[in-house]
Amino acid sequence: MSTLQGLSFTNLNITIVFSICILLSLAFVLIGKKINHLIKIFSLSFLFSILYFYLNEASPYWYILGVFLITLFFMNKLKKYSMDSLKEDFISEKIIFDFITLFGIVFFAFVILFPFYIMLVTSFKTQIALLVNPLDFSLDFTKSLTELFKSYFVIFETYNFGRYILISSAVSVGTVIVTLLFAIPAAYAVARLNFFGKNFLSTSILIIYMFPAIVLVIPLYTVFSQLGLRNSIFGLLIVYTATTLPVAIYMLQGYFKSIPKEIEDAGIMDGQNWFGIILKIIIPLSLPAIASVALYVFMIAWNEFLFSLMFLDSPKSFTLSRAIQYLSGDAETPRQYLMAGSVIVTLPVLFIFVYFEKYLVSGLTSGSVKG
Amino acid sequence: MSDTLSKLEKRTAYTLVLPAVLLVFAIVLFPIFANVWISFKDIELKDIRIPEPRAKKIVKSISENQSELRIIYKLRNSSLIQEIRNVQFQDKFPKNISPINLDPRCNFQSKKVICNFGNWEAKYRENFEITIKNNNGETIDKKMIKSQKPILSGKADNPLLSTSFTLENFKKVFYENNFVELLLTTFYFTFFGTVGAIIFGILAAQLVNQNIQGRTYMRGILLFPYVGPVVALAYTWTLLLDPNSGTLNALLVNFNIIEKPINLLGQKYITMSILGFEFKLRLALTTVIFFEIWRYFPLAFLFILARLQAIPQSLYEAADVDGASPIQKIYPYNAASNYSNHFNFIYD
Repeated sequence: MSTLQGLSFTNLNITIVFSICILLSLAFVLIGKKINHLIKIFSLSFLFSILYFYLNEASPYWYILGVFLITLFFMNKLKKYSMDSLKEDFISEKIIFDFITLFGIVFFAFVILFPFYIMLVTSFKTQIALLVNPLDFSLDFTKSLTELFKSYFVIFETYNFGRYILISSAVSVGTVIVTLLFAIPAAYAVARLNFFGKNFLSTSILIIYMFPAIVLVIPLYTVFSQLGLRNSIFGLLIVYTATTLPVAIYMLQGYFKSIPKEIEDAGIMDGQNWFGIILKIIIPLSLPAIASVALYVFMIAWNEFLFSLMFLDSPKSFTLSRAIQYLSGDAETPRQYLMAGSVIVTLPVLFIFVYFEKYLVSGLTSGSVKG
Repeated sequence: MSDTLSKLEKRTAYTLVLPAVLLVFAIVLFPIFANVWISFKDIELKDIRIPEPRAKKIVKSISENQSELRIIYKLRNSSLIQEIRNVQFQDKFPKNISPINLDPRCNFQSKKVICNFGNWEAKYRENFEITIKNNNGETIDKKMIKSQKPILSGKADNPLLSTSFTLENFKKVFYENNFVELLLTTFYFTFFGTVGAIIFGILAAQLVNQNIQGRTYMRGILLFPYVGPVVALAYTWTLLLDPNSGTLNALLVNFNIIEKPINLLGQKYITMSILGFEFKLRLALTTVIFFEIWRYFPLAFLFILARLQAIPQSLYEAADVDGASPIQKIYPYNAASNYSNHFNFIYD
């Protein structure tokens, strides 16, 4: 029975819990280094959990386990404090600061991860379970696997999500390739070569990025419907490439400028033309920057919604984002299907992000840190 | 020598830059220009399409005579408001076939029927008929006749290219549709969204900039809302905020913070009383602003963090030597970090 139903703040006696916390912290500091740190935190957390259980009899066992783990986490954070450290300068300010930091981390982590968790949990539930108890955050592993993953089977079978995954991947990867093909030469020219309009180009490049997409949609819609590009992957690819190009060029030219010019001069001496220099010197040297641009463009193309909503109206050419919107358009569609679709569209992007986070962060911020 | 080199450099620079610039011009700058242009025109969405003459070909047999066929062309003007001038019609037939009793507007030359229909007014419709027969009395292949599509051409004014301009559209926008209210809402949304994102961004950056365990994981987690697809996140939040079976309302009711579920996304105003003053809060707008903050504070966080980490460690050591308290050490950060915040506007 892992549910929050029935628990309420009224039978949680905050003053008593708070005073126990303070007493425990005091005990922790007084014990100091007389006992091993691990033994100390485990025993004190255990003591706290027992006291808590005694005070709130109604709590279920998993709840106590949670309390125990949280106390353990906080106890561990007390590690650096001892009787000696209390004599340092500004110690009260430091303690308050540490407390706020801890609290802040827990707060931010909760606020961010909670919606993602709800998305995941909802996708594994049945319609009835959702309506009966919206506060049930648990996964029922006693069900068979086919029952548990039912929503996923349904959206792959009835709603053709396999096809949409393919289309989304094709559009995103295509956008990455085409954008890089256009952006690398342009960024190289802006970073290295002298030509009329260079300064104008390098300053105005980001202004283009500031126009809201909704402004572009209506004229593009009319033109694309006349050219027959409206319901096609190719049309989307063109639009995505054009909208991501400015940022790609901006990010790449910043990196290209940091490559020593002498290497290129050596290349020129060896009889390379510009094409050879880009292909044999610039690209190998700036692979991290290219990776970060590729990642960024991929994420934009994968997550893009407005253009796919306006341009695609036959289910044959939907991208994942558009498909989810299509799912929700039908009021009859149960929410677990919608959430299963959301999980499918979110997971790849989160995995890629977690794996390549370093590149993305360095690429995004390289421009801003320079100034 | 150096002159030719610089010429070569310029030429390569243009060949490298032009593809990208042309693409961006075509897809981004052209629509913006088109928007400005159309905003001064007295046209509606349906007029943007240039009128063209159309024909639908229907082939029918005449009784049992296989060597004769009746062809009906359903002709029409695609536009409901504009005329098409000087419409030309042309259709091709196979060998040995000739029309009987051809319409006076048309003539038959070298296997082709060419007609001159003159001007078609708006909404023009006509069922135009030709009867054809095989000169040798053989059966005519119906499918072959049908597969040949007639070619039509005509001249029409493109309403987009005319030089008449009007300010009516702007008048309409300003005086109808509660323009001022919409503008104010946009300002609220942008202002509070951006300020909130920056505040939370600064807080988060301060947290992560300290020496804590799992700092890189925390940085990754903090960026999740920005990385995740908007559609998925928006639907998750509507689910969370749902008044009937949403998690957030259920939690608040369960903990006795509110008595009845609140429709956070559907209710326009909520009356609150703080310190005895009653005031109306725009509830739905506030909720959406919070979603906006939730989604975009990671970006502010990222840039501020990058700034903070660019501050040399020696500054902090100097502050320690001077006996600065932890709070005093924050001030230099903020001065440095504010600079990069302008970037946030771009994404909002």
